[in-house]
Amino acid sequence: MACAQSGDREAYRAVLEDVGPLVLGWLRRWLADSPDLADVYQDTLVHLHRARHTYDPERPFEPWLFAIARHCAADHARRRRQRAWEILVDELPDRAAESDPDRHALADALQALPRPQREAFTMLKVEGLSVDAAAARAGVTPGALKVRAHRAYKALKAILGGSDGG
Amino acid sequence: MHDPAWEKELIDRLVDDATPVRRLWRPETRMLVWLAIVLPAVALPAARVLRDDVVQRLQTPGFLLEEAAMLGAAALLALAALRVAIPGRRAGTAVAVAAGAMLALVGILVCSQPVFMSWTPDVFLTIGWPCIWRAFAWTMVPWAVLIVAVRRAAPFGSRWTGTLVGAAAWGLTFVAIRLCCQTEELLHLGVFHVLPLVAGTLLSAALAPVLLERRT
Repeated sequence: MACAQSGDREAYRAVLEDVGPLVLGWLRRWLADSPDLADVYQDTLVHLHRARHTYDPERPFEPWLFAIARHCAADHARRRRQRAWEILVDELPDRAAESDPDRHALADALQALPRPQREAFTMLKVEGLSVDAAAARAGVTPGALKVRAHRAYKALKAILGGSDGG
Repeated sequence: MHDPAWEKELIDRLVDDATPVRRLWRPETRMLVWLAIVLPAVALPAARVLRDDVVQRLQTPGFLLEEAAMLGAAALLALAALRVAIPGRRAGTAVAVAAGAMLALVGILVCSQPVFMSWTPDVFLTIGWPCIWRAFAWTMVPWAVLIVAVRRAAPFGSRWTGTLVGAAAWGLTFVAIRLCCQTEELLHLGVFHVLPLVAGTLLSAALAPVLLERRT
């Protein structure tokens, strides 16, 4: 990498080809079976390229590399949740309108949930991820994710049931 | 999902663009450069409005300790900001503990000041107003220079980095303002010296995502 910083293109090519499998393997563990794996991988390589001046040859390479990969994966997950949330807010009130005159009740109820529960619900029911994939992304066991999702369902039922009755 | 041909094309493109880059200096060196640039920028306006008894006050151990501790904390916070802006680097336990201890010491020394209850609100505000506007005006240069320095790396955790940048810049200004403000009173120091520091740090954290994040 030190040679690559000096403009040695062959050394740089070797670095990029070597880190590819490492980064892909790491991203697969982080993102599980996300269809966006290739996008995040591309982001990681581009970020690595733009941040190559920040690598210090006197320090180990892996922490630097995986910090970039972790940032790209986290940024991707955040943007995906944001998109999912926008879709949820746009679409769910229409669905809810069939039975509930308060179009924003479900969206409001979701907003009121603790973040881990809301994320579990969103990943499973909005993004349509499998339990294993959602658990891998949240960094918890599948059992823990199911507990969060179950609590989210119970809380939503209580909130929406309360608003129906009121 | 993963297409080797597409990957090769991306790598070719990145390699074609691989011009030599200038490595970042060590964060410690960059922090010293930051201090060298911003100390005169803060000291010059401060020198025009120094308190009358500044020499005597600097001979008081408590005041000197407070100033030295805040200056040290500001330098360490700047170092932490420059470190965390590099992928894979952390502020460092020693830096975090030392900065925390120095800030705690400043807090204790400020809290040991007497409280005057006889001030009317308008007198309180009249005395405090110059400290507020000076703090904002004098912080601009240290804050902007540190933001530019941090941006030169690859800051990912932008809110945390912005918090450190804000605390470092406002901490430095806190030192200068104390050399210019004649008032040694707890409420005044709390409202017109410490509160702007906290508010400015929060403002810096709020602005950081806009100023520091780079989109690919």
